[in-house]
Amino acid sequence: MRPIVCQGHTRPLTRVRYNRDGDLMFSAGKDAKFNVWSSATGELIGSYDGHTGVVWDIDVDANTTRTMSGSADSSARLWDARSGKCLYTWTTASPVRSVAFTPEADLALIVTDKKMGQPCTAIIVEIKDNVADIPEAPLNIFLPEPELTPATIARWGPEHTIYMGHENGTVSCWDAMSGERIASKKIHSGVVTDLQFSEDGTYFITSSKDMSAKILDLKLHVIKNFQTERPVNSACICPVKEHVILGGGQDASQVTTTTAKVGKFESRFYHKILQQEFGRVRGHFGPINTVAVHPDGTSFTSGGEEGLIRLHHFDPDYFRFKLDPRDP
Amino acid sequence: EEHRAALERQAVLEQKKEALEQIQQRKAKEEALARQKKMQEEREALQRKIAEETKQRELERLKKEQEEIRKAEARKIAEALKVKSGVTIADEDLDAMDTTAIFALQAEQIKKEKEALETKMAQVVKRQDFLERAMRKEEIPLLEKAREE
Amino acid sequence: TDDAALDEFLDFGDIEEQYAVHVADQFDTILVIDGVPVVDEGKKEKLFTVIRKQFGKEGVHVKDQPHGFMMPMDAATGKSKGFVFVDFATPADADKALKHLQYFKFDKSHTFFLNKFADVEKYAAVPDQWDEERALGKAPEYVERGFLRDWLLDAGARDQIAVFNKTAVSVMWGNKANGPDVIHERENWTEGYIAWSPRGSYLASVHRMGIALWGGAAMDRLMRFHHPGVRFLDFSPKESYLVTFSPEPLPMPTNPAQPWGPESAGHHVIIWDIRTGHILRSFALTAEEIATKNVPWPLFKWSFDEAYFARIVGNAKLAVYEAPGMGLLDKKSIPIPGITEFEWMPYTPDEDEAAAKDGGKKKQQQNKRVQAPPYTIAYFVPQTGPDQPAQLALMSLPNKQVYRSKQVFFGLSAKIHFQSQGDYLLFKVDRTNRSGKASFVSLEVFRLREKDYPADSVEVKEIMVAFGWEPHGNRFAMITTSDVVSADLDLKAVLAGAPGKMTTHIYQVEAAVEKKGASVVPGGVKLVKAMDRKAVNALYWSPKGRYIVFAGLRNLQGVLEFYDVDATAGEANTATVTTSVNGKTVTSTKEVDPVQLLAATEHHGSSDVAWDPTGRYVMSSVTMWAKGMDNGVMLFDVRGTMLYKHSREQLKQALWRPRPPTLLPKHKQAKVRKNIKQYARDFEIEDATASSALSAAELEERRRLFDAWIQFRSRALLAIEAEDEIVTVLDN
Repeated sequence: MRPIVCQGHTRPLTRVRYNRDGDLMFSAGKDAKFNVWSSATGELIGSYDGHTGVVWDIDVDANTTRTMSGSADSSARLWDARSGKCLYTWTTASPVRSVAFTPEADLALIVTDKKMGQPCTAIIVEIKDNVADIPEAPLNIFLPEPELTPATIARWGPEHTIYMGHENGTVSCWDAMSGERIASKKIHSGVVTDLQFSEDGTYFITSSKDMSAKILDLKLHVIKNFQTERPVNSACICPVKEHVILGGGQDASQVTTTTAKVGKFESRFYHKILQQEFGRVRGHFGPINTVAVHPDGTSFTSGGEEGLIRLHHFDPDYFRFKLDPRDP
Repeated sequence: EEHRAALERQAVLEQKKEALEQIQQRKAKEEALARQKKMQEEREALQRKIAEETKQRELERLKKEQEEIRKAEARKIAEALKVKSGVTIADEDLDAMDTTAIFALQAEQIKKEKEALETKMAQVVKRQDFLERAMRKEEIPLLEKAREE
Repeated sequence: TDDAALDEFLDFGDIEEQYAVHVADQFDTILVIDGVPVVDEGKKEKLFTVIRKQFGKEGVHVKDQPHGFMMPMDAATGKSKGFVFVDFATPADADKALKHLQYFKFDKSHTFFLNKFADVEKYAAVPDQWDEERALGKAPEYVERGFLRDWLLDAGARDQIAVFNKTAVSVMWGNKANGPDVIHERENWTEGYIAWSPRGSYLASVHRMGIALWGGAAMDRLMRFHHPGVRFLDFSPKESYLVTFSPEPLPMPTNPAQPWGPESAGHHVIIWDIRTGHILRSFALTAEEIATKNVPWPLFKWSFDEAYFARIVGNAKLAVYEAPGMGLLDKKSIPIPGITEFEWMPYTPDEDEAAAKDGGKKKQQQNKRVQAPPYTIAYFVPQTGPDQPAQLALMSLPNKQVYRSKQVFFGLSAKIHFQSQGDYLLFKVDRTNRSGKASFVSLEVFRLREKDYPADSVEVKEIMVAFGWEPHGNRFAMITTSDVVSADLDLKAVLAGAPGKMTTHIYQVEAAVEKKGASVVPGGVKLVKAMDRKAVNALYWSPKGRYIVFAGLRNLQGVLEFYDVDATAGEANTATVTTSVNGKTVTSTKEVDPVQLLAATEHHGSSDVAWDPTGRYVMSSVTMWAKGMDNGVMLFDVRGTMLYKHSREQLKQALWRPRPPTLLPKHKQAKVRKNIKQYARDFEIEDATASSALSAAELEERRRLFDAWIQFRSRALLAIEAEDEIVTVLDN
């Protein structure tokens, strides 16, 4: 597997994602940049310029017509995916931690940090085809309840539900329309760093600084547990093979004192069903902050603390490999 | 007196006439000069234009030639490829390609073929083994029966 | 079974003694008849009645009941042992029986073998003497002949390899991973070499005093054939007969350990009955063969069903014998002046039947499959004079009719190659031009499945190094060289010293096509592909066809090239690739070469290459005869991937154990083929289990995890469906 190294960020990566067609790969970083790449060649296609602080989270709608970003500059922005033009800006009271479109892209979710004396909020906004029609007032705003520490990641579940991961390791589920909490459960013993749904939306994987990643069903039952010996910053579910990919490594604060070998800055492949690790992909020289897998399962991308994106196309060997004869 | 006046008038007239003639002459001279100059300029412009056009044509010819050479080269390589490895590239595609692109295409073809062959043979090996094993599995009861007899 | 009867008798000394006491005084009238149907107690009397009656018809009388027959029964099975003691009415009857009823065909599947009781005693005495003379290792003494096909019952569907290195012989399972498993290993198992019988039932070892055969589950010694100084051995195709040759003429028999009679004295060749160990007949060599010490081996060539065997006598006659009687067909040889070469046509009745059935079903099939007479001999007679060209002929037996022949001018010598199913026949004829200065080879290819057996001729200007028909196929491969040094053709030198000068060829034989209302498209021989500058000198087709290995053995570095010669079978013969060039999508197509290199690899110094009998593996070996070190074998799969290397110091022989034809009927084979996916699932799991060292508990855990996941998924999917339904209901 020969990786393509994409150079375009000068500071740590915060998020990498593919669009639904898989021809594009999007990245965001602490350098306030939001870039788009060709997923086939790793060529930089363009960027969405405007943010003045760390871009924490990004999303692309299903047709790749619009993208969205949330930043520490206390704003969330809506962009024209092709032209890179900023279409709309929502200004918030504190940094934006997470953004996400609904599958129909008629609504979007903006989650803000508990910072600058402001509570963590979840803001539901309406998106219109004509940006002039976007109402200034959000559709709904709600706060996670006092015992739930701030959300670190939020994604849409089915039927206008929202799944969140929290600083204390709790995973929660909310009704976006009423702001009611449907369920919450302490899943991890450390910060939940990522939450990514399966292709069909019936289960999701969470990763945590507690050195594990877990697969949960929609009712927050833990279905699978993937244990490592380093903090896990991101995890994704492969669509074709029964695999999950975990990215992480020693904490950023200790990077200067650890070598890449000790830090274990590797993408780690686990068998989704057997929970067994069967492969590692090395190359980053800082912790991996974010991983994403191509919607057809043909490639995966990792973004590192050192500011590099590594795009890996799988070999035929990978597709032939079976840890168990029952594997597809 | 009248005659002197007439003469003077005549003289003045003559002078005026002369002056006018001189002016006319100068004017004509000047005009001729200007015309000449203009003609000169026009000629020069024309020459420049011709030179420019010639140069342009030359450049275009060169460019065309190079293009032809490139195409011919691409064709030649494509032809050689066809003979050597059986790779055929459609003519309309060929026009857009240079040597590097053709080689890249060939490399791609070889790579894909190799991958396809590998995948196929892995299956062949497996299938062969499974088929033999399945046959023997079914033969064993018959052998057991033969042993009993 | 009745196979084992005589041996059982030999071994059961107590029985022998018991009967010896009773019959001692009636010695002259008692014969032991072997090959008698095995029956239970109830049918015993009926069998006696039938034998009595049949013998009576031949004018031989058995003593009246109750004394006429004595048949030992096996206490374990309650059945007879396949032999019976018969007490004849008079010594004259016994003599007459011995003379006229030897090889008496009792019924379709039972032929009688008659022995005098005294003779039985004599044979019984042989083994011990031999043991004293020659150590045969401490092999377990043979107890019961029984079932000789145990190795076919292996659950892993593996095949066996016999290896002879240093002074020991091992029989091992040729696993596909982790190297072979040794099953049997014995010091001094052989004194000369080893050989498998053609269907794998017997392993033959060669000793100073004769040949021993081994087999069964424990590789017991089954039989010994006492032939002093034996050098060569050859089995008949169905393993009924063994032919042995010794350069030492048989001496006049002087003691009972010598199983031949005075009539065999001076003979060099013996044909044995493998089941009984008896000599069926011995043969003398011709004066010329003795003088030149040039004995072609095998001396006798057998028809497909071992009903006939034949040899050339003095380049003038073809002697065809009938088995088991061992007499000359029609009591005389067939005169064919000048004959130098002959081969029997392979014939596969079962497959032909299946093919005929197949053809019957496919009515649209225009070309009827012709069948050459089953007992066909192809022979060659070289040019004898300026007006007498060489003759290629096909003769059917037993009527001795030449039904197809062809003349070839200036054909000096020939080799005859039949395709495995007898579909095609090729004469490789070495020829000269009229002046005799230039020599070349012509390939005369006959299509035996077509009307009038059409023939084509291909001229080869180069020296032929190797040739082979594709088994079950319509292709042949050869290796040629243009090496000019070889004007006076020392082939060995060419083989040894001409790396990279060889050309490999694949030819295909095409049948004529008859189309309704149109003229016949003639068939012929077509070159599929020639590949130049190879360093190879041997070729090995997979026994299943399609795959071939070209090898550069001995001095040619041990190059091994694996090819698929039918790469486009069942697939598109063009490959298309789409690539983005300068931002533009470009498509290229390529015709797929039907002959495709799968792997080019090497087993340095290898001298032998052999496919396993199933066409799944290729074994190459470096023997001590070829190279002083690195002796051992390598196993490859069909695509040329090395599976393992197995070292054996002083390796002399490594031989795959052949397999008999499968018992599985054609229609069942087709069924297996059809359902292969179901089998594959089980085998996948079996293989994974075998390759990973997972414990039963771990396997169980895996199974549990998968089951749980599948349940989880189906629950989730059901939930989605249910929701969809609700949504649909609400929408409506």
